[in-house]
Amino acid sequence: MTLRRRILFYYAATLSVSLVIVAFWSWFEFNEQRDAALRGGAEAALKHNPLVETVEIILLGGLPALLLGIIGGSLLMRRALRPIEELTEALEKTTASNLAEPVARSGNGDELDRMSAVFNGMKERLGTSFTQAREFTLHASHELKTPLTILHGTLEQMMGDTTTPTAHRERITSMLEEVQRLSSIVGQLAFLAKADAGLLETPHGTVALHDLVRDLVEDLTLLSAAQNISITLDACQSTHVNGDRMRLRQLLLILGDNAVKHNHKYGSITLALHQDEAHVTFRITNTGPALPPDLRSRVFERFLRGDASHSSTVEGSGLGLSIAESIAKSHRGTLVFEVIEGDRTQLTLSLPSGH
Amino acid sequence: MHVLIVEDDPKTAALLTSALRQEEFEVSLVADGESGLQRALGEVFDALLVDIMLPKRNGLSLVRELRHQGRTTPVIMLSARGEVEQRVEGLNAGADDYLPKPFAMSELLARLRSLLRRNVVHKAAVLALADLTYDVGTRETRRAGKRIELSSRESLLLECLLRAEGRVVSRRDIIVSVWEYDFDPGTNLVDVYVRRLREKIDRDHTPTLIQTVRGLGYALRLQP
Repeated sequence: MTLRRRILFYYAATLSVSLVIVAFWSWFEFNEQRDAALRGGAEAALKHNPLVETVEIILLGGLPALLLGIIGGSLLMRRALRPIEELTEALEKTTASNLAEPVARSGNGDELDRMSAVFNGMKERLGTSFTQAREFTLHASHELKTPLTILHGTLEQMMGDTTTPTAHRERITSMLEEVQRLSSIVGQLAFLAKADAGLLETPHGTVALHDLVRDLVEDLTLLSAAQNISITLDACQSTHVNGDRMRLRQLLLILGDNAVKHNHKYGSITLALHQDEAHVTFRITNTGPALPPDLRSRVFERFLRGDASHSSTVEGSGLGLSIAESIAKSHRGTLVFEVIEGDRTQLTLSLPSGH
Repeated sequence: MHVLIVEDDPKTAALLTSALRQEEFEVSLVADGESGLQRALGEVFDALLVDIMLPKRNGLSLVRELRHQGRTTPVIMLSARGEVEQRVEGLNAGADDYLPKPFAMSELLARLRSLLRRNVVHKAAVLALADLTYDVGTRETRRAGKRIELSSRESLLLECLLRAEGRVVSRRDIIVSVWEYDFDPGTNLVDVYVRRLREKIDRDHTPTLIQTVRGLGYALRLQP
């Protein structure tokens, strides 16, 4: 039964009952008045005050109907609206990752049940298009790999060919470099597509994060030497997490490289690794032009690069931090970007500590 | 050296064939997994290059069957699909090495040579070029008799370049053998380390040994 019809029936029934009571009471009062007039004449009939009689009828016939209308109506509405609340909660919980789970339906065929059905349909279509987009990226990146191999190989052969004129070699070299850049972007896209589809291998094994952080400091010292950036390792507590050693190395290197690339000459980078009972926290802070405020919330977006005045000098595909975030998530951790006092950029990685 | 290529994409096959012939390998080519297996079982090859996605019988099954039949011919698997898990799968099936697409011909040739060498001769204890010597065991490095102090990554980098015997080593191969990263670090780490190594072994010495081959990688050799 539809909701509209249910409410209509309820109020029609309440009003009918009230009408019957009013009619019955009026009939009773009229009879009483008539009997009194027959027995005692006009004198006795006049003892009945019409105002009092009317009030009595209203009280006995109207009030119960009013109460039934209010109490029953509100109960009815509460029951009727519960699916809306459930639907709202379900909508709040809906994210890109649970589109496959449908919202529970009441199955009674009312308007709200239909709405749940429509919503489930929409979720399903949305899920399908999400999956298609992911699979498209994944397939596209795989399909691009063979042509890239052929392109690279052919260019290599042209370089190796002694009959290739010197004038062409310079151009071939530049083409080779671009093919390599393209290959690297394709590889990163494939990685992200896999992460989006939840296909990143679930972390396994215990990783000594402090070792990885020390290795990172060694790499950073060299990477930043040309810009005279000072590297400080504030704290490096011995910490262990559950995870994939290679992916965590990759994550740390992305954060470190980010801190070097967005720094300035004679700047500094500070690293710290801490562990408390539940979490391992790795923090890396760098000086340098911080991202403008309007871009800060979008820092993990793909292909986002700082504003035009800085990005021209910064190399990279703009996929690094997005990859770093995917790795953090696949380890059930978080990666937080902040700009702290002194226009310094701080990235904080938090992972559940392993035992 | 006779190599069997099992690859169904004609363009990739043509490229592999011409690259290997240029390096004076004898090359045979088949386009599906089943005939690949038959030829690998029926003839003698020094190495096999096998694509994973193949008609009739996939590359993994080919290698598994080959090993099942007791053949130890070195196999390099080529694949456009996933990196890590495919690598593990390929090596578990019995392949000796795995090369994800897109790869450079120089990388393929380097892997192939190292695989063939592994089969023939033992590793030399001391690698040398001109007046540069490197002891693989102790990592002691000398140029013109004078000892040079190298960090552990610098030594590994030098070893990796020396082992290539003058051939160009790609950045990816350097990353794999020095850092053991299976990912593209997206940084100029390799270039920075090569610069450092060049400072240490080439400064104040002639001839300079470390050469940059733009677009391809680095080589340690006497002349360009």
